[in-house]
Amino acid sequence: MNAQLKKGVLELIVLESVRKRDMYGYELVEEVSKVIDVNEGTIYPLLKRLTNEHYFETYLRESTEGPPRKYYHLTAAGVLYRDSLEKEWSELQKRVCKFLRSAAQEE
Amino acid sequence: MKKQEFLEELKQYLHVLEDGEQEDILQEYEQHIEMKINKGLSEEEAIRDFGPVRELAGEILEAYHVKLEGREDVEEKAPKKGLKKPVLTCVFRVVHGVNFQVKRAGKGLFKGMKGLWVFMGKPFRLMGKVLSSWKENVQNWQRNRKSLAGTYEGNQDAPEDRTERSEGLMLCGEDKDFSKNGSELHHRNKNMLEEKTRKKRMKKGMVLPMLAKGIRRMCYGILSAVCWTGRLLWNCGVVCAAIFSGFIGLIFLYLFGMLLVLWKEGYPLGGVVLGCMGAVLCFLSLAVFGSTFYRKKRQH
Repeated sequence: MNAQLKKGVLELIVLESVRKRDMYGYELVEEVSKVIDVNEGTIYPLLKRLTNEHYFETYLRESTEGPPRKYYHLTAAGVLYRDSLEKEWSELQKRVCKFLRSAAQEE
Repeated sequence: MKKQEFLEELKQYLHVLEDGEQEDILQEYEQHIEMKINKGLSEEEAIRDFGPVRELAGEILEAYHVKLEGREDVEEKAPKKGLKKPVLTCVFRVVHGVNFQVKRAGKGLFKGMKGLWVFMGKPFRLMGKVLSSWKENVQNWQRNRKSLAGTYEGNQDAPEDRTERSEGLMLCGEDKDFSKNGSELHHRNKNMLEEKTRKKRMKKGMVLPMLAKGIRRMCYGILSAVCWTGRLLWNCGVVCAAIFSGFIGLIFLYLFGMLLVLWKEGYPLGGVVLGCMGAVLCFLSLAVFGSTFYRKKRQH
């Protein structure tokens, strides 16, 4: 899949995943990988950025194995941002689909 | 690439961030790698999935609105899953670095050797100067003597010549009546003689300053050689004396410490301790003071 295409949608998928329930990094990577094949390294920078922009909150929770894990939680601002992104995404998708269909009809 | 290497490299790229943030990011990646290893992947495989470290670091820094420093290796972006190229560039970098270091060390060594060579060669050069000036002097002297002798010989030759020629001419004159011409030749000969004596006088005038110049240069050469050896000896002496007095000072310092402890324990050593302290101060300051006597060549 085109890396540029993925990059734009990745943010929405991550936001949606965390909205459903709080997750830690590795869990989130696995969740996202179910939807799109993504370079694992790129998820962490994204999480960092969304945290810096206050769409995520983080907290530590002990785990049965290994060191405590850092969980991500979607803030109110994060929810708003997710909704606006979803709206943009569906709008874009609709337009692109429409354009592709009309282009196919013209041929 | 091993985990530790990966984390080290990543840390280098993230050095612009605060320590806490760096630690945070590295911890997260470390945890991720460990979890992958727990799932059964090897360390190398787990890290390979991150792609090139530089690119990854660029993305992390982007989250802080920081631009990755240096854009020189854009070509590293190309391989995503291939390990060959990053490894190659790594190897190349290491080789390059080692090469550079070796070159620099070699250059330094060469410079040092050259300096030593120049330093060691100084007395020989001075000797050479002395010798050459001596040689020049001798040559000058010889040349002058030769020219003097030449003029002298010329002087001696000339009259004979003249008599011979005049005789010949007289004979010619007797035979062919050319006595007029003979007297003219005689006159020319006389002129030449005068010229020669003038030249001789000039040479005699120049001999003295030339000799003086040669001697002066020779003297200067010898003098600078003597100065150089003198300075070397003086500096050696000064350094030795400074080191010696410093050493003695240290010994006294040691004694002072020991005696101080004994004095504190009740031995009647107050005077000796004070004396020791004085000696320490004396010798150490002597060492410092002595080193100011180090002589360098005066710059003209």
